[in-house]
Amino acid sequence: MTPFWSPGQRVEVQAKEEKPSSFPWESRSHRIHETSSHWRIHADWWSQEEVWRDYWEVATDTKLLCVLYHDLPNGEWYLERIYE
Amino acid sequence: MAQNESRTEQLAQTITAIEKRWGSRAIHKARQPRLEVVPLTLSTGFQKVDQALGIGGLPQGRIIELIGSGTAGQVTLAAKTLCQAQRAGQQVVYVDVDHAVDLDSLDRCGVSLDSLVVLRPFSFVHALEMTRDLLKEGGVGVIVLDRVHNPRLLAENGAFRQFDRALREWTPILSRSLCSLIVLTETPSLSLYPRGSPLPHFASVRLFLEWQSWLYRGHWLSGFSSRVTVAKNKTGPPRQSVLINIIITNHVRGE
Amino acid sequence: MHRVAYVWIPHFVAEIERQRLGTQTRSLLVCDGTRVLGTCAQASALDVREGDSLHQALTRCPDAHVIQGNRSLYQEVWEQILEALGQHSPLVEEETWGMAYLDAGGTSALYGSETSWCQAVRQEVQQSARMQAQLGVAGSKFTAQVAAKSCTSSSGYQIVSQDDRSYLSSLPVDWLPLPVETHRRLHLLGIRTIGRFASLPAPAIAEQFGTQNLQAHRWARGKDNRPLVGHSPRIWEAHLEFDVPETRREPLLAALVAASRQVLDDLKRGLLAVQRICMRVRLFGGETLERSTWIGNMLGPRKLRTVLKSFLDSLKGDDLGIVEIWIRLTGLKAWEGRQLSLFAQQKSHLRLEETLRKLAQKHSPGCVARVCTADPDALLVGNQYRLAGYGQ
Repeated sequence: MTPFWSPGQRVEVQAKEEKPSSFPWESRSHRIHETSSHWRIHADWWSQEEVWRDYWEVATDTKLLCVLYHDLPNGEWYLERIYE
Repeated sequence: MAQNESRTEQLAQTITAIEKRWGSRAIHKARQPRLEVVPLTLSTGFQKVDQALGIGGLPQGRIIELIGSGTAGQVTLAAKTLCQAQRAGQQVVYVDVDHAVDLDSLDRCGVSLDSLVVLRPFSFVHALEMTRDLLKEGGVGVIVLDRVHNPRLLAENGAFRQFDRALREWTPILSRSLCSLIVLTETPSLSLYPRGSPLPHFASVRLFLEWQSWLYRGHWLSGFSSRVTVAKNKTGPPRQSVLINIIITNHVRGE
Repeated sequence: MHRVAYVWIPHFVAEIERQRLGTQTRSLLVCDGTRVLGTCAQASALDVREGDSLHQALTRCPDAHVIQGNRSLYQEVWEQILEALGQHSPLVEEETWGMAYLDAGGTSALYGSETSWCQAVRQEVQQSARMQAQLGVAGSKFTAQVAAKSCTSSSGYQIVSQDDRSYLSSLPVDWLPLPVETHRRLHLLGIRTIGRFASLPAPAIAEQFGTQNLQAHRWARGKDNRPLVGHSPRIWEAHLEFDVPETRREPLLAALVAASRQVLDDLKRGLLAVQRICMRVRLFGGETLERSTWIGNMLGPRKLRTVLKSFLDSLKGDDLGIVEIWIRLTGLKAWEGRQLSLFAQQKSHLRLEETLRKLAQKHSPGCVARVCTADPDALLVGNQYRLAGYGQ
């Protein structure tokens, strides 16, 4: 079940009210048609290495089941994992 | 009867003529196989796939290609096979060409990470070199080569020519050592399969995986269903096709 | 659902000797040289353990009947039991004589319930070796082992139906394989149950008692993810048919040996041993006869010839015409044999280590990596594991 990128691959996600709706990756646009799971991680908030992320496990119309996260301190979106 | 005899005679003459012109090795009689030796197999962990392969699993000592793109279950199938190989006491190696191996998922598929070796080559060509050295030194039961047809790798000069040479060299080593090489290939359909790849020729078994539908538990998406088609099978019947379900929870379950 | 069963035959070696000698009364010590190989229940109640010196054992248990053990006999009995267990589970992993893990997933669908499966397995052991086995069924290896060994009911089995952690929580912490020093300190701290131990945070365990205790801590939390390393049975079969019923033994033998040539090569190449050879023949009259024998070792052409010859000779009468013969070799596996299968893995492991060393030397240590658990409780999946380059 690769690939898994740590940290994720930066992607330009279109979001509606904080919820991702589509993103381009490998020269294709992937429209999100379903969210299977959503969670937030807030760790090491006392240190410089604070991790504060919103995770979205989504299914796309291009038949990808993948995990995206929104890095809340810098506002960027990343693709972390594709279930294969 | 007389006609039969004349035919036999005619055939004998033809054979003599061919042998005279092309040499004694140009033509030979096919021997009637009287016994069937069942090759040693490696379970994929998916009962349906094992059955579809005709011999109860993937053959050992051969090259196996898993083809698919995106969420199709090709890496899950490879991971489950690794798990089964470890259960059978074999040493397994994962060649992570893209440096993107998902250890968490391998763990969830049941692969014992403590005994897993991951090779991280600098490039595809380097991966070929490392795999060759690994095979020559021995001690491995299953190698997964993840993955081949990434555009970045294709761009490397003469990659396929080197791959062809490598596969030619590896085939006898694999069959001697009974080590299986599972190669993952990324392509959305067989018609878009990259041209010039030597794999279709050298692989004994080629499985094509294709996403079919999402699976739900209640309202929640819990996994996906995928179709596995045996595109080539040198050790059993080809063109079999089965549906497998992959459920993603804490443990990835295949049905 | 992932289910593991643990089969335990208490005092395996002593039980075999008891059956052989037919004694029941005196305590029994089975020795291998001057070391204790197996003890009976009475002797182990007096704290005699396997591996003790004979002198030590006799001080504790002076009236014991001492006999020299026969390893190959125990191995053969154990192989028979493993083969019998294999009929009830797709995967059998032996731990040592008298102890094995079984894959118990999906048994309720086949047998109606896990209870009836347990009964069937116990009955199988009883039939194949006339011994009483204890069984534990749970979600992981450790829990299954504890369930089997702590079973006190007359049924001889214990099925853990709740999750492993809650089952283990009330049991004494002594069940965990922890160093003596850790046990002593846990006792001083008043931590008496596995549940209390499991509720301690993993980093605290690592810091206070050392990282070597983390595995037992994971097990205490019901997180024993060791896979079952079994040998799925491999089989080779050949089938010969004769148009004219064959009565002469020599051509029959020659045909059988020729048919087996390929498999003998494969066995030699794969370093595989054969557990059992079966031969089935169909006579001209339609009658079918079967012969089989236990091998448990490598099979060379000469040995195969001898075995097949003895099979053919044992078929009554010389004038019986044979029309069909099947030969079946079962239990093909690494030739070191079951008693050394751990060693066999160790050997292939060492070979791979050597390969990796050379690879790291030639390419770069960073290219050859092993997986380390960095922080199993880390929130970020990427931080849970780490790839460490060779020798790093």
